[in-house]
Amino acid sequence: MKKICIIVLMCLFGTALQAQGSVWGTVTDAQTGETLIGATVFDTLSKKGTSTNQQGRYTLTLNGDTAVLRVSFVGCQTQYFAISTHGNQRLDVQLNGSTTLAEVKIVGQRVEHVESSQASQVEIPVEMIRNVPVLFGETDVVKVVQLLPGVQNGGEGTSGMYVRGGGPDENLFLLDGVPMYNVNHLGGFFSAFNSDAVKNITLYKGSFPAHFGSRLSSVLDIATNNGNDKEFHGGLNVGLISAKCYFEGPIVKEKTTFSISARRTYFDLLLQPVLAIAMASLDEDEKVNAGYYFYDLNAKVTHKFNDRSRLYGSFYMGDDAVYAKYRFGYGYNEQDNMKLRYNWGNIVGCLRWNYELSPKLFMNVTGAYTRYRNDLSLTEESKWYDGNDISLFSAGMTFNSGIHDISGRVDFDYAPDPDHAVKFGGQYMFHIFTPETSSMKVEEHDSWDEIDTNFVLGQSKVFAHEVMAFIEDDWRINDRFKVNGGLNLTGFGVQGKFYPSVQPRLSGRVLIADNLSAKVGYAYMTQYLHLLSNSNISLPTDLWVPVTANIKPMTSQQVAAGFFYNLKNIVNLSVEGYYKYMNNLLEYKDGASFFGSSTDWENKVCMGRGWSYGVEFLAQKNFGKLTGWIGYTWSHTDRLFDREGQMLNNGKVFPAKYDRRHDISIVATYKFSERFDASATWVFSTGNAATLALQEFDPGTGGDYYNYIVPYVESRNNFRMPNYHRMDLSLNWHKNLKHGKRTLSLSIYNVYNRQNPYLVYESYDYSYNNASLKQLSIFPILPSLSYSWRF
Amino acid sequence: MKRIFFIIIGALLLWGCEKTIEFDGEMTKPYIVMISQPEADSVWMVDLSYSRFLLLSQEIKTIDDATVTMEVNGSIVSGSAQSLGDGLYNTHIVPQSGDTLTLRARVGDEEVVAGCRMPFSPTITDFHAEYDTSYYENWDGSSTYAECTPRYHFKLHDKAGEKNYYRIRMFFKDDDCEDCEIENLYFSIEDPLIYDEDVVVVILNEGENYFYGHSLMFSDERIDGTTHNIAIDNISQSFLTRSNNTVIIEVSALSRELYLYLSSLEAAENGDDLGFFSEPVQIICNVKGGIGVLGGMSTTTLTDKL
Repeated sequence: MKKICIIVLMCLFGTALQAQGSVWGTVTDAQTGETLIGATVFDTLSKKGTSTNQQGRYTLTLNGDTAVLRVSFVGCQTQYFAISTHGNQRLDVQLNGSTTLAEVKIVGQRVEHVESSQASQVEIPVEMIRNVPVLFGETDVVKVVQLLPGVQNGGEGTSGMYVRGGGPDENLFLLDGVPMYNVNHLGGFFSAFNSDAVKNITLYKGSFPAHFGSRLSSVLDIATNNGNDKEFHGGLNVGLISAKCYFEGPIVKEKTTFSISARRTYFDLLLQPVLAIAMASLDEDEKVNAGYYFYDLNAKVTHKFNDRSRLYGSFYMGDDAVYAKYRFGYGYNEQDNMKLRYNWGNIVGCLRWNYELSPKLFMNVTGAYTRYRNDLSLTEESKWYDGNDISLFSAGMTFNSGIHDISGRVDFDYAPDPDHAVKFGGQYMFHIFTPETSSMKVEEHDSWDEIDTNFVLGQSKVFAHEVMAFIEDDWRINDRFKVNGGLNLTGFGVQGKFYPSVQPRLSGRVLIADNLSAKVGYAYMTQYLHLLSNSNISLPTDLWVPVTANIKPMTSQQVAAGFFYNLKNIVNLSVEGYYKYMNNLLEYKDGASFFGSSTDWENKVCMGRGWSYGVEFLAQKNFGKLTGWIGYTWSHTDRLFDREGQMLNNGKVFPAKYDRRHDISIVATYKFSERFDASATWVFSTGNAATLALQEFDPGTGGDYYNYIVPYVESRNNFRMPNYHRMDLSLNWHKNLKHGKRTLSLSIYNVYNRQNPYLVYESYDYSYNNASLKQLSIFPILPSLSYSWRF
Repeated sequence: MKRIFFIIIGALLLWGCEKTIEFDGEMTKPYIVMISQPEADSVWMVDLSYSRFLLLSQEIKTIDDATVTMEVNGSIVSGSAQSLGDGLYNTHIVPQSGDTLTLRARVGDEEVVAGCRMPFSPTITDFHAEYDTSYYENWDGSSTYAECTPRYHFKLHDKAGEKNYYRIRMFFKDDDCEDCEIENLYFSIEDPLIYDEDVVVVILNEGENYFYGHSLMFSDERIDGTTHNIAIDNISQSFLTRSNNTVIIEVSALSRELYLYLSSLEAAENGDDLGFFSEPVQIICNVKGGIGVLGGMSTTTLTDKL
């Protein structure tokens, strides 16, 4: 027994006794100086490798005397470096972005796809996002993510994300590592992420690494551009409904860079002619003005103190605004003014300092601030003159809700030996929730009355503390086996109650062949926030609320397993199965509504359980003239609310409203020449589940209720809307100009004009005494043009 | 030209945003609807009908040829219920508080069944009334008249350790009029332990956070095992100016099944106020194989002769 123990220990730590040297550095794009996230650094001799982190940094500890490092990244020319492994050495690599050897380009991708220990993780090339045709020609990060297997949209054209049976509030959206709450514009038809500002996107659907937490279903990790450190570049894009621009460049060459991008819609301008027509029928003294717009702004400044130390400052601000003004006058005697203004949006600010404590230890210190607000103000002012006195009446109403988060985080990357990559750290977040506050002010001054009334209605602020500590190790056991194990410890303090949670995470990979691996993963997740919303549309009235003394945190346990295969260095194939069990989920009670009010919300929800299982298939080709992917998901998602006093559907199992049996997406881009390329997407999914009363009956209450005939809902989500399918097309013409390159794009959304159901409702025609079921379709065929210029 | 361009774009956008089309819904089979709300010490009656598919505008079809079997405390009571027509069935059975009831109805090959336990009557003490009397002049100043506004108080004793459900209703009877029917009375109760309204509903109804209606249901969730004072106020009716009237207050204990059934009907009605933004309401039934309820009640009646 003793001998066996010694042998096992020697196997485990044997490598650590050999001669070791570390090589570390940063991988950047040679043209722009931009750090590359997920670039692969691989020693072809020892067959050991690693990939760069969010800051483009890597550390590789090697045995033996020499190593031949292969450094690769999607779309860049692979470079090889023969190095001596004695001692520690820095190797910063700059990769060129062009090559003619397609098979060389894909090496890194293949290695990562097959060799990574992480299951349920997908990297989305930013170029692919820019090519995929979308609604109104507006490139949308989240809508492209929705095309991946295991991810579903909330409805026609919306940016709501439902990952592996989870709700839209169970996704953690990280912008440069900082959580964002409202990721939608215009009721969810557009996401808040401007693709011009995005550098890298990674989606985790399960097997979450231990450094992520606080949401049950997914993590969408979005990194923004640092900015070119060599020369100035920029771009301008004008589309049917919005215009955007970006600029980047060095402030101090190869030391300090900036990147800034902005976008604004002009619905409000397009509305003007409609208003002009409407106003033509109004009285001369009547004036109406109304509109809607959204904008967002991303800015980032990066400063390199030296090779070991960098500082990043990033800022995001996005707002939606609805406004309306109405003015009415009776000659000189009376004037009425009404104004409405509704704003909602986010501010995210982040300051991050990277520092290499040693070649093997890298530190990140982050301070961040997030604010989500939702403000409505409505005022009315009337003045009238009776020949002697001027009388005044004014009334104002405001509604405010929002969240402020202030957080601090320290995390470390540590590579103690060739086979271990350790991450550890901690985070503290202070939440200030303002669920909702309403105020009203009324003033009246005339010859009879002097009224001045003020009152405030609503909940006071709720303060919460969230702490997290984590440790994980990406351990290469041998050439075949690799595991990523970790522990995430969180705690949430609110209303005098503290909820601790220990969340183990484990994923592993077995290399069956050079191009085939099997992966398995387990993750326990806890979530302390809920989104109160009544519909599939993302409305500004949706409110984020924390867990309370009565409402427990949601938890999930997920296992996933799959095979990952690289076919002849051309196509990455994967098939993955998962089972997810969720506890303390919330559903709204029958008849409950949160429209405009979160008061007493705990009494309007029920707590229950849910589970989801499914199989996902993905074939992805990122290189060559034809690129794209085919994704298919078969899944099943149920809910069970059978606790006493928390019962729904008579305590029986019912399908979740985003339960869809089949989901198919095909995305293809074909580059015909340097001057012309085309993209197409086709999506199909089983119809959404909805609750619909298909029968009516006489409740026999003898007229106690107004409704003599009552609709009967057999079970929750008992009705399936018709299947959803749609094809979109995008044609892009490129031309090199004296300064830069211009692209003219024609996008056609819903090419064959499929009338997909958005919602189904019963309609009654009293004239003919006839009832009918109707469906509302909102987007028919929608062509759009956009023009972009990059220099 | 610019203006025309904007008008075309605007019109295209509006045209594209919304389109309503006919949808083919699949017709579902009707259910047998069995409604029975037996009251302690009263004859047990049953109402049978069919549900109808929501797109059919035909009248609700009643069932008059069913075989209805009743069981009290596990024993089948001899003699099946008699059809009175119009879907109504009458029996000679008078359930008592504490009885366990089972009801079966067979129509052709289909059978529906439901069961419940009759609750015990609520224990009420200290019932008393206060009257505010105001005097008014007639419009022509010829005489004055009095208006009396009663306010009722009583104590409800909730039994500890069991779930109880209650309903308060008020009626008015004109004792001088033999042909007149008993009328519903509207009243208010301001008591957060038995009624706590959603703010949205309060705003929509332009009311305050207290109950106003003619039927209030509540559970003992917040008054379990206590003796709770209940005050009834703001009683509506013009009868108050008249004499020889009787005010009837019914305090009923409801079985759980009946409470859930009636509450869900109430929620369905309130949910209509918020339409698209409220969750659809599922009527909670306890009839296996069909729709409806078998739920009992026992009532304590309080009267005040004005």
